[in-house]
Amino acid sequence: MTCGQALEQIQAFGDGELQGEGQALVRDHLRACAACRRVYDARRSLVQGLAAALASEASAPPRFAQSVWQRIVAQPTSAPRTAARVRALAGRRPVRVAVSLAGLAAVVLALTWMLFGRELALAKAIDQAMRQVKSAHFTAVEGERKIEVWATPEAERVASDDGWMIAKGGQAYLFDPRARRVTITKGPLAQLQLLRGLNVLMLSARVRGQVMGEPTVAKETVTLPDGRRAIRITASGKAKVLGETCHFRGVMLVDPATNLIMSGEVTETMPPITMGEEVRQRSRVARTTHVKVDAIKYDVQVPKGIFDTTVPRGWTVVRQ
Amino acid sequence: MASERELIGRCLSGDRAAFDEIVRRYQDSLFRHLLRLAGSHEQAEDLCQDAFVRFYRALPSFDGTRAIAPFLFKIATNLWRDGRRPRLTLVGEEEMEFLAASRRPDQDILDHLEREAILRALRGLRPEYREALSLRYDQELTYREIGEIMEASPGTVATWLSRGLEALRQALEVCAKEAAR
Repeated sequence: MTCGQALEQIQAFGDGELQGEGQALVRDHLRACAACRRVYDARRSLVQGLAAALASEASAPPRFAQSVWQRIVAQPTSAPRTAARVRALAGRRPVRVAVSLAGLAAVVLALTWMLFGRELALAKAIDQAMRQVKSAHFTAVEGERKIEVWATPEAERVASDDGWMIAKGGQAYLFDPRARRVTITKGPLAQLQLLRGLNVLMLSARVRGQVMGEPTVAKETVTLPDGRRAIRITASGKAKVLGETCHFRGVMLVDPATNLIMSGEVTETMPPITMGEEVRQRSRVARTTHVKVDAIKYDVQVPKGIFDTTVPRGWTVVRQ
Repeated sequence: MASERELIGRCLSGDRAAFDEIVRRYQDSLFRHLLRLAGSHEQAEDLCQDAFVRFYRALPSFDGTRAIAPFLFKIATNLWRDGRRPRLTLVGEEEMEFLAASRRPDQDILDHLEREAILRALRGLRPEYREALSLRYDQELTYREIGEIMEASPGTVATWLSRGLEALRQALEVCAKEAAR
């Protein structure tokens, strides 16, 4: 057996897929050839690492088996014998949907945008309710970073330890305290700047209106752990940002009484940006950001000057 | 622990506990597999539930001498294929945070970083490589069983695994070089 032939079968050998003569040939070759043996050992080590990594990934949600059973009961089957049996076994236990209140996110900014204008009664109701509120305030968690958001129909302010962004009048003002610099952008360049700022939450706000195709939207009524009822809306879709496709997936809980968003979370995946050398370097790796928001407050008093775009003394201004 | 054959028999006689046991045995591995295919936590959960429902419905015609895993994973993979839309091609990337959140807190930090790197590299591979690697090294199915699920010959599965591992190795090398800079 040549090295080429051995290497072709090395993985099947390692996986125990070879038998008889084929197995013996590879085994003998590996005993005799140090180079192929090194390849084999390296491959085995990689497989072990891969198996450990795969096994460390997510598990099914809690009470999954119970959910499966509820679905079986809820979906009458064409096989009556089974259906009757299932119903008899299931009894009359009330179905209670457990919902993680882990958070909902910049959904105010991202998800309502997805829903706006859609032929969806609830989306319209949320839209209407949102138009009636004068302000919204919430904090969000993006990775380990905390973000604070103030929003009115006219302006938004998103702040974190890295700096803050104010969007108003069709322009974005990015305040970078480390560089003592304010970058003022508008249109597509605003998006570019936001990408450089690497604040995906801000990005959410900016890509509204560029949604591609029809977002997938699903809703259901759920009971929260504290007993309140809520409408849970899940939406996913794509948007174009600087010619690149950005993927969104969001979940939000809506108060059925007021149609206002209670909390939300959104996950956004950005591909590497290919526009310009600098940006390419800074965005070389596809990014996934998960933002969680809890307890959005509406019609709160907006602090004075929160949307002030005055440039601090000594800072440079960059217009793009 | 009850054998699969025994569990199937009890299921067919209406024993819900036996069905729950089957679900518990396979729920995590099937969920992870679907997460890698669908890329979305919620879609994976939905598909996973549907797969078990279909599996339950198909039990009367299931050959009890066969292993459950290939049959169940075939149902799940078909469900995913049937419902696949372009938006599902992002596969896994958006789930990093969910996956990260579900990891055990006591694992060694170096292991954690290594696993993270491997999973990230895995997400960059061609879908057939990723699916085959998941079925082989997470579910530990044979080449023939993987071939049944992916509708390919065992030889093709061998090629996908071999090339997939090589691509994974190269991606990790690039990652290590970047980290060393």
